[in-house]
Amino acid sequence: MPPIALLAPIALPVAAAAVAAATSRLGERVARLVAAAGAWAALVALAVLWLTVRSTQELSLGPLGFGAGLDLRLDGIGVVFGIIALVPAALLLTLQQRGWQECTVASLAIAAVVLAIESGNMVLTAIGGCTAATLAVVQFDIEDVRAVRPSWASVMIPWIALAWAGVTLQVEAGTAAYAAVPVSALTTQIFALIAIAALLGAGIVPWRGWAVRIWMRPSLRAASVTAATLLPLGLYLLVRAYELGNGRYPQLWLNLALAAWGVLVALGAAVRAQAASTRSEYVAETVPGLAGFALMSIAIGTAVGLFAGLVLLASAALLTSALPLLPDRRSPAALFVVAAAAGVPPGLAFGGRVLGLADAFETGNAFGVVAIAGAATWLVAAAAAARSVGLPAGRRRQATDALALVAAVLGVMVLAAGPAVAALASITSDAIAGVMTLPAAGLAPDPLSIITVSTRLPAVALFGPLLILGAAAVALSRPGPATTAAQSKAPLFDVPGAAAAMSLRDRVSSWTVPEQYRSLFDPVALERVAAGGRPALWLASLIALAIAVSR
Amino acid sequence: MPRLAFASGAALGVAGLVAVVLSRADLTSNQLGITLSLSPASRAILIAASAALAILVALPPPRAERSTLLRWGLGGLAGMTAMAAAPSLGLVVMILLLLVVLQASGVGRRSYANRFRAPALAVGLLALAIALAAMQGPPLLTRLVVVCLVAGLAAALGVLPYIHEFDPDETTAASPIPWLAFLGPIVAVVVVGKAGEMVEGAEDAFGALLIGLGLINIVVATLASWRTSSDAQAWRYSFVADWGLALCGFGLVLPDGVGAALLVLYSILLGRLPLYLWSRQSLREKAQADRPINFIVAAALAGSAPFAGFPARILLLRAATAMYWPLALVLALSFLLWLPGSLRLGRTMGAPAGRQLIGVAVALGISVVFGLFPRPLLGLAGL
Amino acid sequence: MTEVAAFVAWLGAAVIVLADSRRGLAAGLAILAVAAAAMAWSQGEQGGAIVLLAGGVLAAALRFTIGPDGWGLMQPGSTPRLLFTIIAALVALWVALAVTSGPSAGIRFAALTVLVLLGGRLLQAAEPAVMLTAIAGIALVLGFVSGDGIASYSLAALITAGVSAMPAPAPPHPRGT
Repeated sequence: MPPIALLAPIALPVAAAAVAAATSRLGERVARLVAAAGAWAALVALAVLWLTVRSTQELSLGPLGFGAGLDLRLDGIGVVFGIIALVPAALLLTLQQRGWQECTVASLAIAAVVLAIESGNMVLTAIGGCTAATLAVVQFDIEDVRAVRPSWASVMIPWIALAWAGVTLQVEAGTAAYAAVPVSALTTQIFALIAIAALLGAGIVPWRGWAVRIWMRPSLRAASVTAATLLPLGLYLLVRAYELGNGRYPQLWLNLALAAWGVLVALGAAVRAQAASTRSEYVAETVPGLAGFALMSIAIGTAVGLFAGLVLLASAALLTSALPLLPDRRSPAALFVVAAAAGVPPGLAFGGRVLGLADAFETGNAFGVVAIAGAATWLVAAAAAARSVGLPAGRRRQATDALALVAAVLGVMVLAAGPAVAALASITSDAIAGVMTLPAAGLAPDPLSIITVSTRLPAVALFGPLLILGAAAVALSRPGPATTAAQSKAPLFDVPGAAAAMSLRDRVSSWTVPEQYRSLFDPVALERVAAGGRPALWLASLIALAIAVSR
Repeated sequence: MPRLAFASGAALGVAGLVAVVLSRADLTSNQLGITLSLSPASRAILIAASAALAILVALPPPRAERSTLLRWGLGGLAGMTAMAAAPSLGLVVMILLLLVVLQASGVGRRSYANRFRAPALAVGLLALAIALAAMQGPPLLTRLVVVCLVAGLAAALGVLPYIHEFDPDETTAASPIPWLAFLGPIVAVVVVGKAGEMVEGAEDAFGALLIGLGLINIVVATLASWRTSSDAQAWRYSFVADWGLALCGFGLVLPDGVGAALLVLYSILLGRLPLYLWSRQSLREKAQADRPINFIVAAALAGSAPFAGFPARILLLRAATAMYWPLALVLALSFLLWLPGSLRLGRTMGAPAGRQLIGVAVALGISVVFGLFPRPLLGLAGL
Repeated sequence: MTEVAAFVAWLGAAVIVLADSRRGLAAGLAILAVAAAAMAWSQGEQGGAIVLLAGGVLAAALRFTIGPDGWGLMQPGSTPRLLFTIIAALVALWVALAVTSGPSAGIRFAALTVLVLLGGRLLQAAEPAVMLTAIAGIALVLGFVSGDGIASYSLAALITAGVSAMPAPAPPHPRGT
């Protein structure tokens, strides 16, 4: 396969965007088909590129002019993250009704994300990421300018931070190319910038950040595509950081801090979920909760942990596709999806959480505490999922039965894929080996079990019977009509101090300058003075400059 | 006759542009008794300014006459080319003086004195710098030259603390905008380029003063662009904010810093200036819109990827990191200040239609191309 | 001779600072032109001196016909300006003699005092004729400090004359693009 083919996964969605815009007069359906075709074509191109060569491919098209070149690189990890980002995006573009403008912008955003993943250097990744984030904001505004959306600053800060990390590597190490940066160049400071980019870029924060709030919008078209693309992109940066550090972060405490942050994110999502007053509010916390567990697993610093994080990301990707397709009423589809997200065995999310927590326990020391916290968080999340069944819908969106069926299928896929986790490990072990060293015995010598630090997890043997039992239970059960109306429920527990914290926040945000001092801070008057063209001010400035320079 | 005049002017303008494009940066001419040469950076700015004029004449804003745009634009270009080719700063300042007088002689709403005073002060300060530089004396003298050069440049551009008075309803040609957005880039490139031999021994002070002034302009102008009551004023402050970036770039004397400054100037000439002119009609009608095009314009004005402002910011960060990393931190944080003002400015574009929409699309397209691939622009400037 | 020319330059600039009408401004410009030409002559630039003188005299003649009528010298309220001319001269003299070094202290004094005086006049004045005369004077100074030979003298002379030929500005326009 010629190296120029690496451009295909980027160029195809761009072409689809152009065609969607050009054919806008032919109706929304044409634009939707074109955009979906572009996303699927990019996915196929990615798969073909990898399957035909099965090793890292590179393409360098020369310098772009800002210290970085158009260097593309497709390795195993790039393929994994590309698939995690493209599958839900393609599904959503296919199944959701969108206007041609949304289709165009969404296709461009997908291309930008693929560029960020395929990029061979950090600066180009920052450009791709910033473009994707900007287009996400534009999507939100096209869809509904009045509904809540991420603040522009919150989506730009991460990519400015990443750009700064990239140029710092260029200055100190001579390059920001992932494959060429010396290990010693990845200092704690540079890693901190990468971590900021990762966490803020994906919205993985313990409080109700944009990654949660976008799920509360009346329509979930833009929210779902944004979550499908930006969430994996953020965590991709942390995985690439392992490659920069030859399999580890600069300091062990960074792993611990990120893992703890991940647990806090999951805990925050679980606490809010258990207090949700509607199913919509509950659903808004599911993907961020999974993201928190994924972060915890990735941050542990082992191959098993990294794999567990990828499994959780894959679960989140499929659920991101399913959640917007659910109707706002009680249904089997909703039950399957919620169960899958909550980590009901033997699902993929269950397997990922088990692997991640077990790995944290086995790593020991402070990671053990993180694992305990993670386990407790999982319990709360499960309780919240159970509570959500009887909650009122909250949004009154009507989805067709066909879409609900697709959502159900996706939920069942996540639930049924648990036994295949070992097979996934054996497929992805080469990709993981590209960023960190695998244990001597490998990750999954066969598709039946996974090797952890101190034991072997027989995935098929453990999860398989659970799957059969679960399938039998579903088949034998007869879902009856709902005997109780959906109703609000009290939270399972109240967070101590939450009310006080909210009241303090409200008081701080209501602070104003006292009336009698406002004239001191009158920006209009200051502007009039500064922009009034007054010679006295100019002379004073000249004298001030002279004094400043003469010191 | 008017059409013939317009066509002749356009043809001469194109001929002049072709001459500039075909000229080589390293060639000098002594045919007029003085040595004339174009530095690569000056040549690049002239080409960009010509391109901006061509776009605006081809796609004029509503209620703007092509002949008026062409007349003012070609006049400005002639002066800019003369300044760029002049061998010494003294000649440059004399040409600047002429441009100051000609621009102030146009019809405007502000009093003549208010239109004339600030640019004329620039001429006086630059002349004082030249006079002081010719004298021998203690090191303090060189530092005073630095002050006069930087203050003179700031006064010519109309940035803080020598910001020109602004009337939102005045014609653009008579307003401070030509200094900020059309003549200013070449003035800055020429003054900074020729300042080297005048500030020997005080280069650090020169750079530090430019950076300090740049940071002040960034912070104050971005906040003013967000909070000022008048949308036209907000546009003016947005130009000033971009100049803050450019001044920081010039102050960071590394090639990356100069490259960043030039990219900012290109984006002013080919992006912000045309967008401002196309927004004038909606500014007058106070027509705001929240369409997708408004948000994309806002992204371009904010310097977000994939637009031309982002690689400028990357280069600036690189230069600042190489020189003094806390400055890079300040700059990185300051980049966020563009966002609220840019959202406001994007809305003031209204709902562009017809020629205006084509123009906006062209400006955004150019910004995307050079945002992803700025190398040709930087190569044109010899970097 | 340079010292005399420097004093005459100061005198010309002072007249421009103190005059509010076209005849006074023209007189000041003419005096300044003579001084500038003398300083160019003293630097060995005879051609430049002639060009500067011609341009300056033409400019003065044009200024004599454009602007507010009369001499306007030492109008009521001009005491601060008078003090300004004296203080600027003293400071410039100190800088030229004590702070800076090298030959041609007279030229240094002339350049400094004329630029400071006319720069101050630009900031203070509101009448277009006054501002244009001040900037024409700055052009004359630029002619002999630029050091580009006949080119800078010629350009300075042209600009001085051209600026002085500018008609009175048009009244404010209501609105535009």
